[in-house]
Amino acid sequence: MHELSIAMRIVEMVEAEVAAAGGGTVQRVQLRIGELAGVHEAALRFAFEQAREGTVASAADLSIVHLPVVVFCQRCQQPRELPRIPPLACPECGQPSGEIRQGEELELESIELLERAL
Amino acid sequence: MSSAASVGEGPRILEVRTKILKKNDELAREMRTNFAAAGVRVVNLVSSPGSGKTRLLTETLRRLHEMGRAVAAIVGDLETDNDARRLATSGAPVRQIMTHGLCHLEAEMIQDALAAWGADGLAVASLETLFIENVGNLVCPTSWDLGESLRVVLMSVTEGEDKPLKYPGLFNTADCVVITKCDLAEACGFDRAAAVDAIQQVRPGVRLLETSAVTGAGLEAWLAAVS
Repeated sequence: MHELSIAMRIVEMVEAEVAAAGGGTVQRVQLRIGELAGVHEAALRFAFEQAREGTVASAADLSIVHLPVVVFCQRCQQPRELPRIPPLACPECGQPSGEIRQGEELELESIELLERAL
Repeated sequence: MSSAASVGEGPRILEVRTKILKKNDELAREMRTNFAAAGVRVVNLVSSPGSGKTRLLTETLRRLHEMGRAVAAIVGDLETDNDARRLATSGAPVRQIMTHGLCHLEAEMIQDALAAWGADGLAVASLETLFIENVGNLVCPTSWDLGESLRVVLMSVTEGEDKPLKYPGLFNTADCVVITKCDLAEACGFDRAAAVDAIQQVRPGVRLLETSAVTGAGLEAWLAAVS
């Protein structure tokens, strides 16, 4: 359940960003999570519901963009999106590749604040 | 960091675009720089529970300690200091981190343990190799950089050859994969070729070592890789 640690970091970051932006109520928190990041979505959602309590994000939805793995194929000289993992190999020519170009992301993309005109 | 976009009626979007584990990453990077400056090699051992981390590490510490090498180990578990006591039979300095439920180690926990250990008299900067035995888990430690110079993922012959295929995320972060308990391979009907193939599918080209802490097989190559 490392998702709880991640959820707590997310809430910490959201609180800091919202405070720096002058406050407000968070409506949505947008994440980008790669397929290799080792994060289980249901566990993260469950943990986030616990972590957000009593914070500016207490009513916030979690919106998650999942990113498939992209490797660079040395044989094709092309980045290739993998339809599934494993294997970490070019889906066109079968060449194994550990050159990961996408799929390890674990990022806070944006925060949507519910707020009236400034 | 954030740049506020739309101002006016309705929701306002704060673009953040920051890694969620940024704090851990930054601390780990700073620790790696400091370890490198002091000439300390840091080896992070990760595997499922029961794959033989403690046994291999005890034998590793014992041999290196007897050779007069300055080695030490930090071991993380949810509860008990049993592993620290096992590792300490090697004669090398050992420190236990009890995570009380947390399924992985984080850079700050290593930093705190080293600070406390330093206050207790361990000269961290004079170590040649510091081993970190992570909490037994094949998922959660994936994203937590501990400032290590070498991440070793272990799998034992008793676990099934397809372990890497089931846990590609963690195996993909390995600098070195060690197949342990090779003395049991025959008894378990271990299919070595299938295991090697599974490892290559998730971490093409990774260095592979095979050991038995019981018979000593493969330990010379292993010791050369970590010391």
